[in-house]
Amino acid sequence: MVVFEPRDICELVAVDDDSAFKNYLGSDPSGFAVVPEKYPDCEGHVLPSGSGDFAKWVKRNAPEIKVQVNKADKHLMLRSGEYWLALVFLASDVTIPVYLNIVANYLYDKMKGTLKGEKDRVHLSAIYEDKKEGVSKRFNFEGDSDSLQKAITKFKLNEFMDD
Amino acid sequence: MTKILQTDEACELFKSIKGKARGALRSLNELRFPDFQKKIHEIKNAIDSAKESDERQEEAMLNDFYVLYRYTDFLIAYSDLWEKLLRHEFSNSWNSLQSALDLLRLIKRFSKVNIEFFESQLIELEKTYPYNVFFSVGATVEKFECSICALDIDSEDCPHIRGELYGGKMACAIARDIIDMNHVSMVSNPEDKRCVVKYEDNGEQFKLVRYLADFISQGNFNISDFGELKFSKKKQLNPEYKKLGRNDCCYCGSGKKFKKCCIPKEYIDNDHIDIVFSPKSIEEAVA
Repeated sequence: MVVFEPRDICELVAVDDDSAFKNYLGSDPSGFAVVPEKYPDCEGHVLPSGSGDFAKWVKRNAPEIKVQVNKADKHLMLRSGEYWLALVFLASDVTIPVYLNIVANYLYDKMKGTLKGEKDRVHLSAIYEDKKEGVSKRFNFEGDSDSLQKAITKFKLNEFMDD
Repeated sequence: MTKILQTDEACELFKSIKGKARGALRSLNELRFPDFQKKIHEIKNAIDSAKESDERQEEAMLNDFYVLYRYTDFLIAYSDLWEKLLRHEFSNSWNSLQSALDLLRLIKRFSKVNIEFFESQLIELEKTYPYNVFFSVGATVEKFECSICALDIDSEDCPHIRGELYGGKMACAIARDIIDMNHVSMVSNPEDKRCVVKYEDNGEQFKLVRYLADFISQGNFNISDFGELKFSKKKQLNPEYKKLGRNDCCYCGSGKKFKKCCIPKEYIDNDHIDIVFSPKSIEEAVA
């Protein structure tokens, strides 16, 4: 009996208040920034545990990509067996497929040692500038590495069609 | 050929450990738990003395020692699990099973030591327990402290990444200054499967695992022979079924005629599980 079957999410939504993201872009950044955000029933802005780790992992494994971690009021400890990545702001040199590829490699590395039948699952969000439409968009994703690969392919295909 | 551990010295040491591990598992099959513990003690002593005489203290060798110690810990958890299970301490044996599985994950992550037999067997054994909903806590904390350097593990000052090995020690994140407990949720995929609703050891929930335990303790099969569960459906007589006339009012209280309601429910599909034992040698188990 499966009581709570998790559902995959792969959505693009318009960002209501993108002032923080615009400020980030105004600093002429490169790479991406790991950004704390509000969490239900929590005061202040939080980063999920492992956010700093993720940044260090990117610095070691993809040193060409600059990563900054913005200071959080506190850290959120979740004891589910899933990976909760913090919200990121993407600078113009990092596209969604590039970021998702980084996450896919990170997951692959973290999942070494899993036993037969154990599945990875990741939650992530990224805000980026859709230059074509001139708006800020938020990409929300929840799913396993197979779904992540599908999302990468979909974004790449869209980019190709736009070109 | 792929090396099972990073260094030749550790590979040699593991070869000698494997022989002792096989001896220990033979004792376990014969349900001689004190003998098993004695042999595990010998393995631990062998690793201790190799570590003491290792003067180079190189990173790769220290990390190999970490794996060898986890292998020993695994064998202890494995024995502990079966001992509790055979004593009908099912709740506690679940915790030992989770410890054994955690240790297998570490061995698999940091080495190529063959754990295939244990992995398959314990994953099947896990299915004999009644747990499929777990509790997961969400809390906010000031910071996570690195178990190696004591700095904030999420800061750039700390050079360590959680879950990785450094000089034979794993970097762990220790939650410091818990600010508040945010929630407790019920999940199917927790970080720690030990957080469960506790059932009494004599409860109906442990029927399957009790059957397995009794089958082994009665000497029908060895521990190492257990390896598979086969799930299926079997038709069984419905105990609530009442044979009525076709046009009679159905017994279930629906108000419908019997022929329009429960007439086809004389037999119902029931879950059926076969416990498959296939005798195998200890050499196969510790390949």
